[in-house]
Amino acid sequence: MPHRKLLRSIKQIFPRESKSTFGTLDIYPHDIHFSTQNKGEKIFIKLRSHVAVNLGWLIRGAFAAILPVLAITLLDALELLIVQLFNDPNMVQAIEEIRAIILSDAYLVIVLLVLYYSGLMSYFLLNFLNWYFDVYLVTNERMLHIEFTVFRGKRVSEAPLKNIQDISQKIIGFLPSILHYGDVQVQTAAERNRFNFNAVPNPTWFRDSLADLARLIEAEEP
Amino acid sequence: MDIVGIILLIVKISAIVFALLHFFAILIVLRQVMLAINTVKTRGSNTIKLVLITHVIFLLLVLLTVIILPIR
Repeated sequence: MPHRKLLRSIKQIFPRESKSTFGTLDIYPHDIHFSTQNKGEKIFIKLRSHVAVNLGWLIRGAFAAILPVLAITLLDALELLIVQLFNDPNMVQAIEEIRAIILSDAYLVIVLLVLYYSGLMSYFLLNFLNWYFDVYLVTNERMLHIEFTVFRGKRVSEAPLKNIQDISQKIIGFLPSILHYGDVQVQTAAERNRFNFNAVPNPTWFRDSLADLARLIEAEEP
Repeated sequence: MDIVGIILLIVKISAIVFALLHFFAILIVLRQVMLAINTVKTRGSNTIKLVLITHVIFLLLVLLTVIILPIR
């Protein structure tokens, strides 16, 4: 049967199941379904951008987390500097007064800190969601990009595998070279003729597998 | 009310506005995440839903704390 032959050939491209730690590259994923999945449509690959793309907001967030402590330390140092440089009794008194006002309402300071850190928590959460719900899927019929951006909604793009004309990859930059992730661009015979897989792990393997799969699907087409 | 009192009042009003906006923004995000989960359901979908609901409850508590914040 041709269908069985096709499945055997696909088994040669993707021999076994595999799962990555953060779900960035899963082969034959069982735990994922999408709303427009057709009957009999099987997901071969689930991809997300490499975890390293999150480093930017993680570092910014970590810096923001220590910012209040840093600010207090810097203000103390500034106060000491002003006292030593100008030695103006009025200025020293003004600084003391400001300090007294802040310390007199410790409850307010705590609430403001809670507000600040809840905002920071939201920052972490929203950036994580942006990354987590940005999913690429390759099925036996098509490739899909489900993109979710907080406050801007979601965008779903898809292209049939049989329309694939050309696939290229690029690994540019220090981190992508070290951690081996990069972009894979697929040229398709459609109106929107470019399909981008951004910062996907192991792009060489992915490009090769996608090309093999597209050839296989194309050969099966009557 | 002296100048310090006025400043503290302004700070309190700003805190309430921030907490309110923050709370409603996260509610919108929760709604969007529900829609995203309907589109693509993954292994961690339920955990994410739970984390977001916890965050919304936390923000509600923060909002209540800010509202009952006493000023001098």
